[in-house]
Amino acid sequence: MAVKKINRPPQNWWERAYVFEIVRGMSITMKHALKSWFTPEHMPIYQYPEERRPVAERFRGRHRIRRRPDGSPTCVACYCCQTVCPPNAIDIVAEECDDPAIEKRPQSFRINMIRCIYCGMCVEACPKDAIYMSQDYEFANQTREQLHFELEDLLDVEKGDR
Amino acid sequence: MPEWAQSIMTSSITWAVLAGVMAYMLTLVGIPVYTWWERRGAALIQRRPGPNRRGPYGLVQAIADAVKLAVKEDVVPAGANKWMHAIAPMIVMTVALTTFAVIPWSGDIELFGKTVRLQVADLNFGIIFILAISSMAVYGVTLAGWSSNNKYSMLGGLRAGAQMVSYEIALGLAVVGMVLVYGTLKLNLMVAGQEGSLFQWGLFQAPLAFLIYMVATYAETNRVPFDLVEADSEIVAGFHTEYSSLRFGLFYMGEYVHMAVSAVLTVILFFGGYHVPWAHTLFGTTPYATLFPWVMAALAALCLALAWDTSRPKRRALTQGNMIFAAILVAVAGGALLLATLYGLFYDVAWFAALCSMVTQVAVLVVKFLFFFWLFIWVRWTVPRFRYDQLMKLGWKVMLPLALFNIGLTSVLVLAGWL
Amino acid sequence: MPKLTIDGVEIEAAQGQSVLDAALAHGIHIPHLCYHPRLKVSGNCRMCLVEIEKAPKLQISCGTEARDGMVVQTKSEKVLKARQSVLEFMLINHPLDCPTCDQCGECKLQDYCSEHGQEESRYGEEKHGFDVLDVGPDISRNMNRCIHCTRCIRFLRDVAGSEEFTLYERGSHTTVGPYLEKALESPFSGNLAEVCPVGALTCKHFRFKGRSWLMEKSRTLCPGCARGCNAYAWTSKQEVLRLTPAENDFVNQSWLCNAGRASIAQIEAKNRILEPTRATAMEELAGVLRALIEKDEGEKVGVLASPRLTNEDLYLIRKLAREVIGTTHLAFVPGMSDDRPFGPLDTPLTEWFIRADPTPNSHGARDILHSTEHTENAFDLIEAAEKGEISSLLVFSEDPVTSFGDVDRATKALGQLDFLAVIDSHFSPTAELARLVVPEASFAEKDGTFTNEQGRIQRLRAAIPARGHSQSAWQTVTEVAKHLGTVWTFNSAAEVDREIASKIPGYQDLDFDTLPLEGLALVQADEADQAEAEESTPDQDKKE
Repeated sequence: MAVKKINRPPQNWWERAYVFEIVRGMSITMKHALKSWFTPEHMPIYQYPEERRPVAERFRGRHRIRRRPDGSPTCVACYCCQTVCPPNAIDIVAEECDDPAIEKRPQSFRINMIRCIYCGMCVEACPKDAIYMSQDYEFANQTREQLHFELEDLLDVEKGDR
Repeated sequence: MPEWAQSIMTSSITWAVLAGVMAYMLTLVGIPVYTWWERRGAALIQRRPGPNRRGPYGLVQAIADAVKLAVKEDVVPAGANKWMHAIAPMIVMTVALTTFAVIPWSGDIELFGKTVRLQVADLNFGIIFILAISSMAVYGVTLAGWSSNNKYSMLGGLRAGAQMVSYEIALGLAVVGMVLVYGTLKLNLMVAGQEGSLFQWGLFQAPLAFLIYMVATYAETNRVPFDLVEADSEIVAGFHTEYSSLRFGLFYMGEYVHMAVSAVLTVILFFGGYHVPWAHTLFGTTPYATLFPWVMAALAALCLALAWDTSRPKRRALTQGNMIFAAILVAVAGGALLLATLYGLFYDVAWFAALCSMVTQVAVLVVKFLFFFWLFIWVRWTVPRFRYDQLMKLGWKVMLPLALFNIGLTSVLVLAGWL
Repeated sequence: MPKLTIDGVEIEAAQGQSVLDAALAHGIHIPHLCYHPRLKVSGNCRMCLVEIEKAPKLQISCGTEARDGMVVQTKSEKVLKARQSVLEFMLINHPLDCPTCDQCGECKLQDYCSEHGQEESRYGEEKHGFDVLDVGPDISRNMNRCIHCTRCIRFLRDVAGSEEFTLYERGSHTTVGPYLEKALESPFSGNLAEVCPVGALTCKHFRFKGRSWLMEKSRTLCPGCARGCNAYAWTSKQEVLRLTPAENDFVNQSWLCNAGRASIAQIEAKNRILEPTRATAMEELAGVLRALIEKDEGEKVGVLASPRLTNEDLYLIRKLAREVIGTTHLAFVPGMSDDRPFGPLDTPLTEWFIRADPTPNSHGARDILHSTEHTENAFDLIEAAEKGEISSLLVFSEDPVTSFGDVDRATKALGQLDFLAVIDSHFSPTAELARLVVPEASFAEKDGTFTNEQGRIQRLRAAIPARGHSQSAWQTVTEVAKHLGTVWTFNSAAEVDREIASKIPGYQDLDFDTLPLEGLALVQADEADQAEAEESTPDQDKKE
């Protein structure tokens, strides 16, 4: 086995005595403890459920699919997102749409959120600007099946303007 | 005061029971608080809040943890020696609790012509008793490591055996130094020997012994920086890897009881026990009775400050249950102030004044004890763990010679009459 | 032979070949939309414009004959500019609905626009929209996407032989469609989906089933008739989504009939047999046979094979019947003979394309089963069963109850048998009578070879894994034979083929792995006679 020699700076007798350095260290930790106790608001933390770490504007969270004004999904099941998806997390089944102007719509649109790597390629690929990534990252769940998001899980909560 | 009440108050059994209750309060009742304190202390040093959700300041968290621990599955590993596996945590806990028997919680007080003291057993070999009993803790730890049939436990047990035996020597020799200084084995006499000026404290009488004693104590209690016995980054959890549920709980509590004993003993040996320095000079002939209202006032002030802190709106703390806690604090403060007032009214009743001075002494001891308990936590989150060879080197090549040198030095000084 | 220079490369073209054909033949791609190698030149899309030296303006390469000394530029600035303009005109009314369009990924317009088109449209007006018109059950028409290349019109008129489509209206209202809004009736209308360079005509059965780039395609055969059309099976998630023609100049050119395309329906048919009657079916079957063989009554076993099976299946069935069971009662149902020429011919597809024999391997069955001393007809087997000459019957992929003609008589005859086992992919009246039913893989799930009517051995490739517990007949037979104590070591169709090559006359050149894409013509016993017969057939037809 190779041995790597590290040249540490030599210690003087004060440092070698150890006790004094411990006292110095303890004064540092005590300083922190007192700071934390008397000014808890300056702790560099977020109390999670009540306080949220602000996410960036371009944060890529769970997917959402925009709705048309009538509430139907904007998606036309072109499979572009499924095609570009690096981990093959998206699975689409297309069907005929009653509206001849729309022609095609997703019968099922499933994203496996466990597989998803949140790269955002699907958003880039979408020719209809139907899929986007919201800032929501809190969708932990009990089973794998519950993390297979179906179309109804992905649709925007509100009706869109597109 | 009726005759029967006087006989009860002057009975040594009463005070032994009360001393037992005192030990019980500081250990078993205190453990939830200690664990909470340890976690909050760690968190504060690391600039985070720690458990702050359940109950005021997160205090109920410890109880929740205890309940969780109690209802967990009690696993005995296959191939374990069931008998030894069961008995090991009991040894640790029993040994740690037994040592409290000889701790004097207060000085002698006169009650109706009799002298009583808050102490379970006034053994004339008190300090030897403590050393003898506490050195048995190594059996618990070593047996736990051996009986678990797990190589990590085995390593932990072996380390415990070697470490505790090594440092016991230094600890014992440091105590021998103190025995030389005080000229007695009785703990209450040792405390009595530190009455008077601050420089009568063992710390100033034998600073080297104090240093050796502190280091050895940390090693004996398996606390950081000497927690090689359970070194979680090396051997999982050491001797208690294979323990779960309340058996693990016993080890866990045993550690805190052990810390409590060590802290109390440190106070008694080196920090004047229940004495306040220069008490007689400053506060007259019955200094502790005189101090009683001030102690009560301080308690009330602390409670009120905490109550205020609890009830004020904070950015991060949850307010759940805090108003009840504040109310309790205010009630305690009121009680303390009432007692102070009562002292003002009845200070000339001899037995009442004597009881008050006893309470003061216990309070002084507890305050000192709390500091040393905090020191355990404080050191834990400051100092990194030793390597095993460093530990052994320190124990045998530094501590032992130093302790021997300390005995020689102390002997010379005692003989020379300087101590 | 004219020599010309295209993009600085000197090329020798065939006499009368167009510049486009010559360029394509030499690997120089000139974009083209209305041009189709198997259709007449129309020259209306202007996509294949090239610059020819000394010509006053750009010329369409599809309509310009290659001449000696021509100097052609296909990538000059002028040509590229022209292409861009042509595409811009086409996109004036072409909707940008690639996401919904089924042609997406196979669309020539899409390819050329991404290669040569402009980034943005300069057209500010509203696009012209057409009403939806249903043109029949096979093809869906979207007039908005049409670029008026008239490929479909030319295909139906010149190739399919049914002049059903035409152009009507003028200008941007120009519509391609059937006369009087009639539905398409041509049995070859499915080809329009491939003929159409854009998404104006797409396959209705495949509508929205998948995207071309997400599917895998494997070259296999259409099982629909004795022609043995080459086809691609397009699969996704282990499901065959469509069958499209694969080029084979000797068999099907670029075409596939509607019935052939529909043959994928049998893979997922409701009456598909996926599980054997019992898990121990094979042992039981072998047990019955063993008992008969031990009593020396192998002759009382009848075996009925089918020309729907591959050569490998048939060969091992024969081997089992002859060598293991030792019966002479081995039969198959012969396909109908077709006296029309096989082609490919220049005449309309209706005159020669679909064969009268609906089974893909009659020729192979004849070759393999007749190459033994004695083989009966399926009808003889029924009669043999009636007379009590056979007491047990193994039926492979056949339905004698229906094909015999007289259902009651056949049912009665089969009812007299001690034992009837059916190895088939689909339930049939015969399977209902059987004591044991063993699942058989469908055409898309098995490897093997078919010999088409013309005597051309072609490869069938498994596009998807076999459904359920089905397997190829040769595997079933091998398993049974193993239970009967043989030491057969066939692990793949290729291994069976090696034995076929050595045992069956005419198949000596058969090598599973090196079988050419266009198939392998059988080595005839009397090659000279056969060649003469083949040559004379078309002539006779013409005379008549």
